[in-house]
Amino acid sequence: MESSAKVTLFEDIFEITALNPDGYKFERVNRIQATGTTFECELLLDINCEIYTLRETDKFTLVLASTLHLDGSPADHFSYVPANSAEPSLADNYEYVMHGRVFDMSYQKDGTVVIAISYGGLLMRLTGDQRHLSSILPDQRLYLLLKKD
Amino acid sequence: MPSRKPAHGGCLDPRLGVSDKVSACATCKRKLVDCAGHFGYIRLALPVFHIGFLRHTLHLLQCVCKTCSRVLMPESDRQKHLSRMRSPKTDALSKAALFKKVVEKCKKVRVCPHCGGHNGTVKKITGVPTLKIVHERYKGRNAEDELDELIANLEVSLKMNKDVGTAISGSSLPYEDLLPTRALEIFTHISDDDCEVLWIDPLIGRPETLILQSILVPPVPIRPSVAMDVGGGSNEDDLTVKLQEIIDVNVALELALMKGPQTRTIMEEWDFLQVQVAQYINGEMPGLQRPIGSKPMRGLCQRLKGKQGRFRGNLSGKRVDFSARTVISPDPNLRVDQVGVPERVAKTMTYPERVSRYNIEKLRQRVRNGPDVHPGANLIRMKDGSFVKSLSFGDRELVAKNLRYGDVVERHMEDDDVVLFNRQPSLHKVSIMAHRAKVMEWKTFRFNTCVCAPYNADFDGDEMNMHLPQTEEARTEASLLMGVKHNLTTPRNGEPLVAASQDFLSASYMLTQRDRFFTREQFCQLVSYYSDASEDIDIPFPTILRPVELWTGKQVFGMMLRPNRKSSVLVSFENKEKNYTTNKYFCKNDGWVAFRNSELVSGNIAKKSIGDGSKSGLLYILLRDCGVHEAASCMDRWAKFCSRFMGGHRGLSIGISDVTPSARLRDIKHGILSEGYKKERLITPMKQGRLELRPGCDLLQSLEEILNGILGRLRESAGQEAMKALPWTNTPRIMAECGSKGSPLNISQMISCVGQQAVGGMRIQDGFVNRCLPHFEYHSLIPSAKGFVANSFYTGLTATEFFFHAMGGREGLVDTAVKTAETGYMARRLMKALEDLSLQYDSSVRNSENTVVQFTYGDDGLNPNMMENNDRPVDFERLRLHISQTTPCPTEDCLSAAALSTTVEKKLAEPRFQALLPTGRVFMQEIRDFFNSLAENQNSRMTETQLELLLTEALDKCMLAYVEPGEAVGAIGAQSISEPGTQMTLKTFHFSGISSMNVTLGVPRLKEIINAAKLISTPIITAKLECDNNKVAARIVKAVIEKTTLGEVSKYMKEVYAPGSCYISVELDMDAIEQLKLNVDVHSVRRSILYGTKGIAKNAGMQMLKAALPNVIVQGIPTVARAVINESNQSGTPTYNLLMEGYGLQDVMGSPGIDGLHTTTNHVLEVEDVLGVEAARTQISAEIDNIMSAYGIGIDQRHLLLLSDVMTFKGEVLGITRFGVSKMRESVLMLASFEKTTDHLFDAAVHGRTDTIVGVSECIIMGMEVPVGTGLPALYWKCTN
Repeated sequence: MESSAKVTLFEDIFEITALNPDGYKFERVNRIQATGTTFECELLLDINCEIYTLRETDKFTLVLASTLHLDGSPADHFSYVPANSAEPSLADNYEYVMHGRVFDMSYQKDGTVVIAISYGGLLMRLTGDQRHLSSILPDQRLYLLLKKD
Repeated sequence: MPSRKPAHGGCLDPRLGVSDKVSACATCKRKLVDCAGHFGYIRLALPVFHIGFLRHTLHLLQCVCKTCSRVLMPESDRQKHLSRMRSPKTDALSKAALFKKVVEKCKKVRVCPHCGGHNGTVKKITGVPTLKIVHERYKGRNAEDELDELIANLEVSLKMNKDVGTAISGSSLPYEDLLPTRALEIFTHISDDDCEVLWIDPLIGRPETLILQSILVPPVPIRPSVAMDVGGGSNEDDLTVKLQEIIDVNVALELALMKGPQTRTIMEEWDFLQVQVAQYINGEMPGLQRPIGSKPMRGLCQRLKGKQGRFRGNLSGKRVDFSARTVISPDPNLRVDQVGVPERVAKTMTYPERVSRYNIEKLRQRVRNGPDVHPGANLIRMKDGSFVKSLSFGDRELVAKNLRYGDVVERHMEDDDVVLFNRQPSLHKVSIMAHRAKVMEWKTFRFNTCVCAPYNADFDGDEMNMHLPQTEEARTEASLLMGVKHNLTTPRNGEPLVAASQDFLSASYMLTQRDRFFTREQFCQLVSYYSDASEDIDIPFPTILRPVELWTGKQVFGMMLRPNRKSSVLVSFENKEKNYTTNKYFCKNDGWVAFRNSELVSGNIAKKSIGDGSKSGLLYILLRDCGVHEAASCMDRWAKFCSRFMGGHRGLSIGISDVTPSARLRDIKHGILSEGYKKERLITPMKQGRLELRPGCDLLQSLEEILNGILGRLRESAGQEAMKALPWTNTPRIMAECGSKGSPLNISQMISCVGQQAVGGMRIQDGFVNRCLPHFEYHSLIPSAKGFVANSFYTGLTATEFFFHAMGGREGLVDTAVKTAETGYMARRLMKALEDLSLQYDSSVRNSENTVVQFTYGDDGLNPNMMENNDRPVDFERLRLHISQTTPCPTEDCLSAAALSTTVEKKLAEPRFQALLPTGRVFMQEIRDFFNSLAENQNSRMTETQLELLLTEALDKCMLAYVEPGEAVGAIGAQSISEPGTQMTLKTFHFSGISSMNVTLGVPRLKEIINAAKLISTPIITAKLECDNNKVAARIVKAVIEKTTLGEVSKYMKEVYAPGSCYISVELDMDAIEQLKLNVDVHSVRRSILYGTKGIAKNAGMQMLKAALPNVIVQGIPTVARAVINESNQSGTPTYNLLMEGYGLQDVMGSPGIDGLHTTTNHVLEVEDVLGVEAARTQISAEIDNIMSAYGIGIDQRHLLLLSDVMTFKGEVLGITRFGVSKMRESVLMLASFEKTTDHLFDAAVHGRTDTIVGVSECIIMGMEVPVGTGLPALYWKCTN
């Protein structure tokens, strides 16, 4: 597949509109609701708030990548090798990185697509125009990288 | 000191055998162990009646001429009956009917058609202390001649003895005394031909054998004497005592006969002998009074009868060797199919293993270990069968060395031996299952708590039984048919029964919360918990890589499903969990469980996923898609993991602080209660005024009902507030939410308010004069005076509240106690009626007599145990999802809609599908329907490979879902229906919306249906109206049907006396008639009165007439007591239908305005009368289904269909009672082991019945293989050398 070409699947800067819109249940997880500044995507994302805090009206960069290798070589998503800190990776530039898989994609009539990604149970929902999200494939494994602006 | 030696010729004569261990039998010279004894007899001086055959003796005497002993029937009639009796087509049932007819006919004959002798009725005289039969020869219209003849004959006696004269001409007519001697004489003269007419086989037993001339003395060993203390003599068995008395009386009688004293003495002695013999046979002696207070003797009948009797106690249920029983305790480290066996048990329970070249070394070691070291052996049986060698003594080393192939070593139970494990009450087949033994230290049986549900076991002191099958065949059969892994689902409806419960659910729930994170060390420790270091585990990629590497709890759970990439467990499905709200994956409680290739993508795992009773959960999908072994090993992992997780990481405790309401909650509760009380106070004064009556209720009932509703809601809303106020971490709340223990109701009772207490479905009734308790005012209707408990268990109950609560609690206890007895009896009856039904090779369901009960089991031949969520063998949508995930086929092209349907049609034409026809038609239609809808919707991809895979798997599943020949479908059905009986609490339910119309449900109703009762407690006819959207029309129809009496529609009735005439004046209340929409006027009333007062004589008194008039029915069906219009509001527009209390389906169906095609009643026998037996069959299963669904118990339709077929296959509705069962089955042994044991045996003896021994009961009694299940196949051609 054209894996080397598509390292960064999606990138945008988001602004948080609400924290825990359905109410608060989990102690260490916050559900943030955000809107993309460039592509006007709607985002719903669970993050571990114990180790990384985002507040309302914060702005952050969100990147979805298929690999963390800087040379773009495809990542092995299945076997875990303890991270080698000496080797530089894409993650070095970001503050909060998660790994997960796309588990649901539904195409709406109005040309938008709703992508649901699960990071080990931390969910993400990205709603946006099909054109901007075309490089994300169903059942794909990917990385989420965040940094505050 | 007396010698205490049995007398020669006495009833303990040593020639009859011996009952002590020392002496030897005088006949065969052997000891008790080898000699079962010998029979003797006592010749009676005069014949006596046999009490068991008395009824039959009477019938025979009635049927034959007392003069010439011929059957009292004209020759032509006699010939006709004879040929019918002889016809081989006539079965026992019709013979019984025929004989009954003969008795009926002969009863009417007065003059014998053969000899012209006069015959009267033959009667048994009651009230005398003996058995006495008389013949009323001189009674009747044409008997005067006979009487005159008698008087003429007695002329001489009359002169000599005045008493004769008074006896003849006394107040009552003289009768002929049919003494046993006379009866014997009559019977001896009955010809063999006539015997056959009377259903007696002259070759087997002629009628004279009904009269006892001598009695059999059973051997001594069956009536052993119990030696008292030294020299104290012995205690004799009841039979011996009675025999002794018989001998005494008999000797006295004999002497009296020889001496020839007064007739009276002889008669007295004879009567006494009669009584003694009767008592010996039947200690209860029906028809004879015995001194009050004396307990009945244990006669021969009593030995056979009842639960402890020979039939039920010894023949149908036998004691066995190689069994063990001890206390049980839980052990999550055992696999679900294992059971921990104490070493002590293992050392006593042995298995005979034959020595072969594969195991000789192992067995040598066992022999060396001997009986006292665990993996040892107790005995050796030599190959030549010459002798048995105990290993307790002698040189074991030598024995081990000399062990040869073919010897049998009785070795100790060892690990992985197949054992049967059982807990009483054994209500269904999974109450006894085959486990693998695991020999452990300590003294209890241990097993995985997942297996508690099928046994219904807990560990509060329960004991369980274990058996060790003794042959390889038995082991194989047990492990394949009864193995835990093969019985993970309940045969009732196929839902998983062996499943995670309690702590496992709580732990899974807490583990899979969204905010559970683990570091690498923690994660690795957790994943190592579940495998005992015996599995390869691939650590997955961490969820969070930065700022620190963290894994989530959901990943841990996913690892338990699929520990490594080699594992083939791939499940993908989605399911709502208990706490699901909205928004699918993004539910705020994380209640939407979604798996993708065994990865938990979203949702928390709780009861619906891995608990029992759910066909959409993870466990069920594992079971169906990955096989039972994977499902079982996943359960093993959960069990191990959850208990270690609970123990080491996250305990779950509960304390008083967990149920302490906050100040805010207290205020809220107070507010809710006072609000409710205010409402209630508003209603009370309305009692006097205008309170809108509920349909069919009077004022007080309506009030009660409204109050009940309000108070019920009070507790509910208080409870909801409490649940809302609790923090997420509150342990009771966690348990209630994940379904492991407790419910929101329990929590709200602890925290906020216990609520209304009820006894008999109502608020607490008055126990004192006009009040519940003396603590309240008279006629008080306030909530607290009627059993409303406003306090919580936390705050504590007041004295009166406590009392009310105890009243409610007691009702529950009593109810369960009563119900267990009732359901037990019902289960027994059901089992007796259905036990021998099995599926034959021609796919019909037949009983042991080869009578067809169903041509296709459940109309489709499918096994209820194998049904998927849609009650069909394949859930196509789920199968499609599964295949699309496991075999994505990304490179292949997707099939177009047109291509899809043509390919499917092509595949369905293949022989593998065609072979399914004709039963598979429904299945093939399902396939077509599924693919058609798939082609229409166009939202899922389907490639050619996937299609082929899907069809193959669907076909496999379908083939597996057919019931296998031999399956005991009857027994399984009976258990499936009776097992849930204990769960049915509460007796009555309100009829859909109409509170006044209660219907009996639960066990009482089930009993009515199964008994096919003529009178049922709540007969209700449900009718559809021809015009069902108009309330006025409904009222008119109702008025036509409902019984209306003259008293209800008249203003007054008065007696008018005028000179020359008197009459009763009635004025009709036309307003009421108008209001009730009655079709009544003066003319119709006149007709009704004339019709309704028919019984009353024309010249009866005015008062009598006046009393009868109000009850004259002016309109309606007399059997319909009440009709209620039921309003239902589906799809916006109100629709009405009519509910009627009472009988009279036919009349209701014929009433104008009623849609007769949609009118039913819940009374099965009435349905049979009006609509026929097929309608009754449908109604039976519908009614049972209705009961079960009211309690939320799922029973597969096929079981209910089988039951209703059994009740109707004879062409009429037969209840599952002793009367019904005896019409269904011919086997005497089976009927004798059911009820009325001795009656059936005596009957069989008279008619010379034979038993073919083909049914389950008979085979068990005779110790034969049962022709059901694996006993069905038989070798029909045995080759000889």
